[in-house]
Amino acid sequence: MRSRIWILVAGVVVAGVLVGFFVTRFLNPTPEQITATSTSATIQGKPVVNFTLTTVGTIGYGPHPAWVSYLPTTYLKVPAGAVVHITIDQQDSPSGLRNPYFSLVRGTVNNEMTVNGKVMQALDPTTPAHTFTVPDLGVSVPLEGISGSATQNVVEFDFVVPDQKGLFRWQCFVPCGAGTLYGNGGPMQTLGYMAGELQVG
Amino acid sequence: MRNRATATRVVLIVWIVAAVGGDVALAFGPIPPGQASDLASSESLTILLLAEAAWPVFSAVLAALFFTLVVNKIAPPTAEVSASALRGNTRVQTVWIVTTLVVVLSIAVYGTVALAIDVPGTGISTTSASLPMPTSTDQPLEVQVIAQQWWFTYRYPAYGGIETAQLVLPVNQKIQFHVTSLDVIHSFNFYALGVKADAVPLNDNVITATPTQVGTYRVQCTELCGLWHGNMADNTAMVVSASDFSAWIQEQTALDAPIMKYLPPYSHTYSGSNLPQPGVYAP
Amino acid sequence: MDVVSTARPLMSARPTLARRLNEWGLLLGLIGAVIGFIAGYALGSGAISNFYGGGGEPTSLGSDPGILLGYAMSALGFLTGMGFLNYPIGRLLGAKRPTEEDNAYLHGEGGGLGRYFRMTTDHKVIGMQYLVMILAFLFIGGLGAMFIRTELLTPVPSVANAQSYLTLVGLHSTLMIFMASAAIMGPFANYFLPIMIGTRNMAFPRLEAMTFWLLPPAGLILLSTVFLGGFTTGWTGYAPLADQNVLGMDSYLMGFALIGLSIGLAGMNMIATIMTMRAPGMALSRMPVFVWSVLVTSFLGALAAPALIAAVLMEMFSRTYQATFFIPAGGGSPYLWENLFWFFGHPEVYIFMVPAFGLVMEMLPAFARKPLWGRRVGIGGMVGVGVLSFVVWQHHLFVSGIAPSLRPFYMFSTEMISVPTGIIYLVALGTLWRAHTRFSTPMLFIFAFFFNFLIGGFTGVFLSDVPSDFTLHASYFVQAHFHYTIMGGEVFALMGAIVYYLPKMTGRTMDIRLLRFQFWAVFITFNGTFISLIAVGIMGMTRRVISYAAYLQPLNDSATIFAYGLGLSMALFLGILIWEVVIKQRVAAFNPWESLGVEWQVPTPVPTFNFDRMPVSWSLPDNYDTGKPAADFGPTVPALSGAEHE
Repeated sequence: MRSRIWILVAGVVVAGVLVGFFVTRFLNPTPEQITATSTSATIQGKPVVNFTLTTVGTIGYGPHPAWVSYLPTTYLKVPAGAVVHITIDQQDSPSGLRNPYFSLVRGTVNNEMTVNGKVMQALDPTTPAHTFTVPDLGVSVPLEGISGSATQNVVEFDFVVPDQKGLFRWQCFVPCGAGTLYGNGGPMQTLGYMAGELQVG
Repeated sequence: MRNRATATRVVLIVWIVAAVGGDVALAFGPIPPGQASDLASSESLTILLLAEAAWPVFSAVLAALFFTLVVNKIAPPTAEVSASALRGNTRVQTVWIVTTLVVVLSIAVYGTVALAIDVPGTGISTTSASLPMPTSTDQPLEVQVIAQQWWFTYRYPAYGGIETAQLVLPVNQKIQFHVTSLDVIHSFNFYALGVKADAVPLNDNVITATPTQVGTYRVQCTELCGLWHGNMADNTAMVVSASDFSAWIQEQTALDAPIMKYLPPYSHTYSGSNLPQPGVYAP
Repeated sequence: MDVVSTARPLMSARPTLARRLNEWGLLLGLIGAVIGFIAGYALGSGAISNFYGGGGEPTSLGSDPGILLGYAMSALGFLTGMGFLNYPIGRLLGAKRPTEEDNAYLHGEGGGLGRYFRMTTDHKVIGMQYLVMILAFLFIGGLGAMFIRTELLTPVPSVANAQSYLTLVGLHSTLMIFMASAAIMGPFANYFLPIMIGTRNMAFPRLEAMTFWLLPPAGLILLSTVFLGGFTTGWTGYAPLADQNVLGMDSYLMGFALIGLSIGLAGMNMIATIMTMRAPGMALSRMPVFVWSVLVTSFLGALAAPALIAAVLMEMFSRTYQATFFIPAGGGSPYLWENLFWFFGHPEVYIFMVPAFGLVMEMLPAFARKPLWGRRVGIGGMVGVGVLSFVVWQHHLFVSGIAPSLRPFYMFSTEMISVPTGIIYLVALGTLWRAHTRFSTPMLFIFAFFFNFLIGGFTGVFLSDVPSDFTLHASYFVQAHFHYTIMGGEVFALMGAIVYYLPKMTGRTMDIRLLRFQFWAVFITFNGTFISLIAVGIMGMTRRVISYAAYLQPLNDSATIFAYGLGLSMALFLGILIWEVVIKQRVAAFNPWESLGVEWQVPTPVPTFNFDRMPVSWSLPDNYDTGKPAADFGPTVPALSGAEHE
């Protein structure tokens, strides 16, 4: 009977280790989050915080080196009630939109963005490489793809986040997952590449 | 024997009280999905009628099970079942089967009739032309629901084919939803209106409802569509008065101005090559 | 046909090489699986993807052709290592027919505990293997459910993220489907069917062993999705979403293909056994109801599983060679997958339920101490369920936009199913009518089965009716409905059957008082959980979402708290089972329920070839009015050797 108990204990331990592995490594791998840097500026009386993101055509490392990605990460954290000023170094070539509606700039301050210093309200739907879209906040900004000898387009915009705490998903609406059906697989459906979480508060 | 007769009577009375009481309570209770549209009302009514019919039967079977479980325990049967009835009784079996058959058939007939009256023409649309702007509230207003990973957008062909990310509908106006998808299978669910229709690529799924209550509602995707399926929901869908609706349309028309030239001509489904061209939704 | 005693030693002094290899079956199988995976992976990601340009984007984890071929070859390698090819290859190379001794060895004679870890053709060993495997699946799937409920405590992501949550949902559902499709057919049909119909073995014993040994690779392949990025389609695997998924989708496809193969082969084996191997005198009219339910289920499995295998293969070709079966832009249709999948999927749910009906009707007379009332209509009911289950599948597609004119027919055929299932209740009530019922623990589980399945059935009415389905389709109402039928029905029947049959299968039993406590705990928490989920579904909560509207939180929390209790009480059942049966080994009475079934008349443990003496005449297994046992072994005569039956 004693040996049977030991076998049982060993089995329970092995199962526990497997479950622990599943929970810690797979279920919710605690992502590296980047926090917005605060500034002294205000817009409409709200504090402005800054982010700088980069989009690249191939990430070059990790399990999927060929995938497109936002860098450094897609897990963003901002204080509640702030105006978020995002600067995106867009370094990818255009893929074009499936639904041209997303070439419209929406939900940002004045419904505007600045591309290489030029104020714009919409793009030609064939030119975006990605979009930065937070559906629940109504924010959507198309990011123009590079053409010719340019190596990057600098896109800047501001948007207001709510005063309450919350977790918002954000994603890209350009079918940029090359090689996958409708361009919407792979990086488009994997957190950390073209999908992310915006934590407010 | 007397003990058992009393117990039998108690179970019977409890069942009658429960069956009648339950049905009465159901008649006064709130039945989902509510009365926010004609379609929702008819679904509520169907659910109510099914529940009214099901509850007495359900509680009867439960009472019979309870009888065999408890009454047999506290008051064991004194008379044995006769040998001829031990392995079955043709009459009882026939009555049971015929009864269930009748109940089922009447439910099916009712369902078919309700389907024909209340949700006619839902499914694939046969017309390719879109509807003109309605001149009366009986004429349907066509609203297209475009599902894509992972947001619904809406087009209003009667108002120049503008596209919006928020659904706003005029109250007491018959709405004809045309649901389609640009990529995988989604399902458009406007719970309060009783509207649920799968969005399938290259397919036009039509469902009609007339919203009757002004308010702010939730629309959501009810078919697993990938990573953000759980977040493909929007709490800002609105049913508003006719004047508010025209004001909203004007506002959206102004907002859409920069991209109107890029939007493709209105169509019930959108196709194209994998390489997007201007004015065409890629497949 | 010499008269020999089974007591004589069948083993020769020196085991042959094949036999010594067979002793190490499981180990060799695992080695074969690894070799097969490496070979298939190299072949798939090298040669084939170069020729055809594999569909999925190559990553450092590999490509779809590599993974799929690796999985296929690993399953093949596993079966080869286990020794499934020894016989056919040996015969092709001109080996002699196996001797009686060989067969007896393969049957596990004198094998001790080791025979449970190698390929054996003894249906009783296979039944026990199934039981352990099913309980392991149930445990892993149940853990998944606990994680899901924990996540749904809050309306926003907490313990999981959007991606891992969908994989969790997919793993829970797919594993549970794997488990449920074999939960009663596997352990109980394999173990008791040959005994009940008076044969020493199945028609195809090696095939039977294979249906079991396909399960471990299927389960492991499915679970390995965790290392490949998971899959987001749930257990329905709808295309075109499945075409978009990362490599983890291949685990789902290959796992399901193997399970489909197992279901189909098991069905054919059982049909052949019932049709051809019945003992003289075991007429169809005397066959126990459980055997009838197995017959119906086997037809369902043999006819429905090919549709699944076909669909899954098509999806595999879509993912590797870019076949566009399910992609409209390529000339395919998403509806094709939906139709093929549900053409399998709806009979599948009766593959779960019909054996549960049979088992419950088999156990009921032993506790009612009365013959089964209305046996013929009961059997007719099961056959009716089986036939109808093939013509209802489109009720899963009422809102899909497929030809609306078809809806009335599928509404009608679906509602018709309540007639034959209602008959099962009639039979139960008739049997319990004026019965001096013994309220032993299995009887409690039988009552719970009828209670839960009643709720499951009545919630089904609302889903079969098209106008109400517009509200309830794809909501938690559906989820609660099928948990009421599958968990409340099949799993409760499974627990009752474990308590009922363990004394026969192992000679050991469980503590009754603890079991009674466990029963009430599992019954109350189960209903608490799923009544909450019925309510939350009516209020509009969609299935498979990680985020939900805030007003649904109280009901979700109530469901989660009850679900924790449910998880604990299920764990308690496993705990009692392991402690009492495996560790403490509490000895059971020979026939604790005083059943008259033939399975309770053969000795415990059941002899290797079931019958030391064959019964000379058979009667119905439920003659509780006269007390006549199902089989009459006649006057004592020397028995035949079992191996001659091969």
